[in-house]
Amino acid sequence: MSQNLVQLRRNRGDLDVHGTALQRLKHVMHDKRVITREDVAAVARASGQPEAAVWGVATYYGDLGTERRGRTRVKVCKGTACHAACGDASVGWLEKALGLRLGETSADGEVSLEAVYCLGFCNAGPTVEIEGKIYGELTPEKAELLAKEIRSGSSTAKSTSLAEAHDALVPRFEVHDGPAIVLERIAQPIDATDLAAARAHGAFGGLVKALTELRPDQVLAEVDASQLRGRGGAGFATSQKWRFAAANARLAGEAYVVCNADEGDPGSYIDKYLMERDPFAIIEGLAICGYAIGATRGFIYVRSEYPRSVPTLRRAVEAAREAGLLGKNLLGSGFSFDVDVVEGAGSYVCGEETALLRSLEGLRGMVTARPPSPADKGLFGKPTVVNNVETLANLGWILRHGGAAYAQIGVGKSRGTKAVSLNERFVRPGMYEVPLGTTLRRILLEIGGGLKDGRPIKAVQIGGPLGGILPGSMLDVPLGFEELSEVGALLGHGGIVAWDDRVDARDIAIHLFEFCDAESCGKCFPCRIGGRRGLEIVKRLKEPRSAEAVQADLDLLGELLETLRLGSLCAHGGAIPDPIQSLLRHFGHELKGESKGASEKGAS
Amino acid sequence: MGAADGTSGKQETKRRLVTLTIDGREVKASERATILDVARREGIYIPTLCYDPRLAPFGACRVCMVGVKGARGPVAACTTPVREGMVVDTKDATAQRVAKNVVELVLSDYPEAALAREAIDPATGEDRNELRRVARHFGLTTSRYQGERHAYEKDDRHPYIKMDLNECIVCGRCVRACDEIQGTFALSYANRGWATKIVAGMDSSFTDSACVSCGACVSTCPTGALDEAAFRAKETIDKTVTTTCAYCGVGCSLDVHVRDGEVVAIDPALEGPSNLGHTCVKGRFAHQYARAADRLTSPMMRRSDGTWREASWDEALGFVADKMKAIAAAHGPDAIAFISSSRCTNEENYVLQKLARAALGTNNIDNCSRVCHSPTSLGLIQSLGESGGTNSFADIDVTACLFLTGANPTEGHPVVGARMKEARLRGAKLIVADPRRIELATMADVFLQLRPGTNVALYNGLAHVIVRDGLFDRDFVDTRAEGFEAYAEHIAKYDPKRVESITGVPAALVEKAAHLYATTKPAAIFYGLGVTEQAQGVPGVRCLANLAILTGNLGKPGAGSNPLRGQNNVQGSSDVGALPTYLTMYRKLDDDAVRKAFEARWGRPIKPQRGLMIPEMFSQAIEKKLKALYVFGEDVAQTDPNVSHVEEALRSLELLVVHDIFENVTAKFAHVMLPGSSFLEKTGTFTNAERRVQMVREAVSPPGNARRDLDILLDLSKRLGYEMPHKSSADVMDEIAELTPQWRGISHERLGKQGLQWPVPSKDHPGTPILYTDGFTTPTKRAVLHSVDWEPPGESASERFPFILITGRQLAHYNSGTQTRRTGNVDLQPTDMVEIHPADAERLGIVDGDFVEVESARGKVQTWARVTTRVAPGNVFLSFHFPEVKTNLLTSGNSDPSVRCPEYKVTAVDVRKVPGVHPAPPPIAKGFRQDAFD
Repeated sequence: MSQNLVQLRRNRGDLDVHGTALQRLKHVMHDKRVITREDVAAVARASGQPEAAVWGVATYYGDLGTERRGRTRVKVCKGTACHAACGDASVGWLEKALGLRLGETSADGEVSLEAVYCLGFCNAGPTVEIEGKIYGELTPEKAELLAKEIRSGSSTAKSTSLAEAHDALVPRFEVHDGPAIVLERIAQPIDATDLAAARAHGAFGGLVKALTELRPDQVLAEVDASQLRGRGGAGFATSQKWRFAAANARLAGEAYVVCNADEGDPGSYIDKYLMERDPFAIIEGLAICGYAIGATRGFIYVRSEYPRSVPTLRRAVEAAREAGLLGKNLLGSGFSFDVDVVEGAGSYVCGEETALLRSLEGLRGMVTARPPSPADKGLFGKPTVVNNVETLANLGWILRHGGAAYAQIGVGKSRGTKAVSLNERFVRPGMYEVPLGTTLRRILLEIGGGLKDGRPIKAVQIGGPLGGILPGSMLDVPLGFEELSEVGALLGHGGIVAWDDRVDARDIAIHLFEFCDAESCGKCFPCRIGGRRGLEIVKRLKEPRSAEAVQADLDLLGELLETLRLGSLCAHGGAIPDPIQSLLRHFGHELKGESKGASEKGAS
Repeated sequence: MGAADGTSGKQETKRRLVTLTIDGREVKASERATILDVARREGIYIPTLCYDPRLAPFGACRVCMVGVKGARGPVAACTTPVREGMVVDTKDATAQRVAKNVVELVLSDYPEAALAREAIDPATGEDRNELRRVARHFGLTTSRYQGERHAYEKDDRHPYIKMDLNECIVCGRCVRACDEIQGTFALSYANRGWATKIVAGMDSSFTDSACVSCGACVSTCPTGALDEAAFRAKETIDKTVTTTCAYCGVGCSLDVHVRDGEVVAIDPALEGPSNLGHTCVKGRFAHQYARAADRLTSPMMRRSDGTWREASWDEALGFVADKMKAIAAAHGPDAIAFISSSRCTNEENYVLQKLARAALGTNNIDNCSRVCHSPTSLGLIQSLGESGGTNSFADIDVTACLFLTGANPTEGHPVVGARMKEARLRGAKLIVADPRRIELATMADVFLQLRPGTNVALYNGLAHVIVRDGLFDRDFVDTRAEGFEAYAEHIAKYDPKRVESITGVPAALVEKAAHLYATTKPAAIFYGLGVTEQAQGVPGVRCLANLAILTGNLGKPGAGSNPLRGQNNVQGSSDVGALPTYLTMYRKLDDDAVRKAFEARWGRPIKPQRGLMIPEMFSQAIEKKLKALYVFGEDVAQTDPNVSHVEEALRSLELLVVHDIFENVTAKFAHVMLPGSSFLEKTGTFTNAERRVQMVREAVSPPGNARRDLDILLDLSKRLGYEMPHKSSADVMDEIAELTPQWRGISHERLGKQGLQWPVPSKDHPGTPILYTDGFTTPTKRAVLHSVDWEPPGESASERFPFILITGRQLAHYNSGTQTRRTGNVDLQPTDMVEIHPADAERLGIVDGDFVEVESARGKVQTWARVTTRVAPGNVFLSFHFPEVKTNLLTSGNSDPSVRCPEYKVTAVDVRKVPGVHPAPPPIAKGFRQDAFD
């Protein structure tokens, strides 16, 4: 279906990622705070897309909408870390302060209050975004203050006396127990967004080596030797993906590399800081991949919830281009490669490869069935490698030091290091790079210092909302793809969110199903309907009912979870059962309303 | 990429067979097949909801889950390709549990009342509602999931398509059908998650979207969410009859659903080879005319005071026969003429020409191809040998380059238009040469917007570039064509600069189009009335054939030169001899052997001299040489050019018989009206534009005293003293086959649901989808390159008449509109409007919707203006579907001298605003404005 929509643009000779329906609608929404039918018609004409399809885009993304939003859009974070921080109480504080219900716009069109899943300040929750500025460590008092300043200021003055989280609430960046690879520059007191400083500390060394010393197949061999697996969650062997795409690229005569910077997992802020503090590592990784597979264009698709990532990346692309590290004939090698930075518009599922590509094409971020995989038919129908930010950030180091050196680090089939991020509940929340194989105990209790106020860890979720949840008693498991999945958890993206003993396990279940329901792309039946039915069931668990009624619901929930896991088209519906299942396993009595926190003792 | 890589790529994409096991059976299948494909082939039922064989696999509903040995869990059969050694268990317990649970989820948001209904299809014995079928398969009658249900308002603003999202399961089949079958993109998903829903246009309504009412969405909807009002209300049907559409020359195969002797609804037949399960707003929806209140249901005779009275068949036919006999006795049989019908069956046309020739002894029989595609017949015979398109519609799916000229398929031949759009969407190149910026022109690689009446110059210019730049197929030209040397010399003077000065097409575009056409193989030409309805109609057809010959684009798939025939049976009516010059299959009357074969079979002598062509019939009537005219299924007083002249002719006749289903405009002058039958009420065959002879099957009976057309003609012949032996239309076909070598293998029995494409020389011949694979059928057995000079059209713009009028069709209507105007199609497209370019409109002070007058040297008509860039400055466009706007008062008597096909496409006119206050034009549904991509 969407291939024909792409072909409509191809027929016009127009494959510009910045002129898509989505990007044009973003401008309209930014300028007018609403998308009208006239706007849709105009965007349809300009982008070469049918009106209905453009309407479909306008109603799909969280940032867009056909109902008017306020001149000041207040987006309160409902991500997992903020849930752990305050149990969504921040929503109530802002509702009260603004006099608006969530989802409403004030009658004068001045303010609207919306929900957003994760702003990437999980080290400083609860957080709220107001017109591109993010404020953390929210309290009822701060909410009142923000509301007052929004109300008093004219629509153009949206600054507040509160310090923005970007400047005030920076997490720790540390490397523990092994070499500095992805935090090589970030963990040092340098400004790695400056090209000269970055190059002085190794940036582009891998690309230079590749272009001057290695053939593409030799680059592939190094990546092969590193045993690097995708850091976005699925853990697919990077070199295998590249090889497949390289073979297809030879047939198609064209290929693309896309950096998946849609770090949508609530509770993770790893990619955000890689982009904002070491953008050249990503650009270098893209170019290395492009060289290896025969692609001449790279794209970085960045989630819109990170307002500072896109400008930082664009400045870096510009600097790299000026230095001859992007553009035509890099370093006289004959290899040409350039990068576009594209911003998303608020959709978690766009972190899924096929949905991300549709979004880059300016369409609804709906998942497509495989085969064909993106490495066969990806962006604009051409072979495309989609790699996560952290995956790409490893490549410069791998080429400089050799794949074998990388493969020496790690545990089992999980080689190299991994960046993890800890949420605000910890004594030392931050972003840490550790060798794979490091135990959770080491990370959470020693590096992270355990939870604040000496509270025990009741539950910890790793790898985002689709990752299993472990009780505080199960922290001896080493960080690794297979190692974690054996205990019903997920390495995923590496974001770690811990709840302390004050949380009700039923609220975690509700939080997760709300997320599943809100972010489903709506295509496959299990996720679209099952997400809502699951939410209704877990919400009912908090109602006073007979034990039989509760048990009947839990039985039905069990069937639903199986259907979601085995029936869903992508991991959004397919993996949400994992954390719910772990809640049932570890906090079963609590879900039934029998007792609270009785099943497990937390670790402290 | 290197050539070596390209070669290996091709090898890799060659289909391989794999062996797999499905439910214990070892089977072989193409590696491109999915598990579902194989299961269906093997007769193994796997329930589905989002699957439609016409659409690409989608994988949304997750109901087709099956077990695969070694897989981590169940897989969706619809999107999983087969692999060597794969072991599939369609009854896998886990897969079944998941699928059943998905259906239960669906039912939790599906109206209980709708679930409880039943609509059994008598042909299959199964419920027409796929969700109910699947629910029953899993034994589900209710859902354990309780919770919020959607509550949507129903949308019934469209005359045919009713949308009730409460019954929608969001499978997306409608969205994909609109995209992948029709190429219109009127539908989309909107919102996300639980709120996801299907919208037409900008969540407005079908009539306010790009929708062209083709019904592809309705035809694929698995529930009752999208349906026809009438169909839904009745739910059950008694029978389904597969027949052939009686609108344009595409020849769509239709499933007519009948209940209580009435047509309830029409669906495209999935097996139909020319439409592949698709149809258009006319074929699918516009059938109510057959039961219109003003249908003729009794023979009518004119009283002396000019009013009509009902008569019995005996009286009416007796009167006609007696009068004809008297005229023949007094003035000879050539004082009588017959206009046969390109809307009627081959058998009826054959019987009418037999009646004229055998019962009366005159060759005065002609059909409306005279005024549309007679140049195709003659031109193609002269250039290539046969009077038919060289290739098939299926070639659109495989061609690399389409050259479309003088045709507007997305309106005139919508199913072919959709197929062309899909070809473009799969990446085929598209060249459009047309004076109007039609929908396909907006999608083209090159659009040549030429001046009306300059086709020959443009085509010669293309040939010039192809020859000049050495892009022609030297081998083909040397071994299979003749006349190249003279031709090359001839076209030397059509350099692009000169062509630009004649046609107005920039020289650079001529070059670009010539290169694209000549270097993209295979390339197929499709053309229409914009080529034939010209003073240079035959030369235009031959110039297009020249292009195909030059580039070797003949006798192979995806190539050729193919006419888009106007009426459903304009090919067949001529094929079977309803022409003044030919017996069946264009065999000349003066060929003694042929004539003798017919004389022997018919037992009557046949004159070797040709009879009158339609325009000559009118002239001779005015000269009082022609006394009687029998008009069968035509409305010459509306559709023929220079209508005043036609009216004068009709008024001069002693006997005018109108044999039709309505009292049409021509009937105003008639003495007798004979009520015939619609295509739904009779059996026979139509031949579509790809030479495919297909069955028409009786679905319902003619209303009142109306009779089957064949019965009327046989009865009349008997009363004229010549009783034909035919018991049925199948008998008639047997006689055609016996007397016609190229139809020898055709019989009703053989036609089935796929039909046969002539030539079919023997009973075991499979038919001929592509002509000339083994050589040409011209006298020299070579294709003939024809040198012809461009000549200015019969009329050109002058100070008095500064605009050139082009006439043509609208999407919702068909020719004289006698059928479509009696259907809901008028709600979609309520009137003829004059298209005029914004620059011209501004100069004349005309704004969109103004009431204007269009005047030619012959007359004037008034209607509303539509200001649009679809026409070039200096041109205006008008259709001819509504009698209120007598477009053909304006058109001239100019015609191609060899076949007398009129120059409908070039008329000098003036346009002016009509002073005073006038009502606004009735609204046109958005998709019918055809400006979605303006």
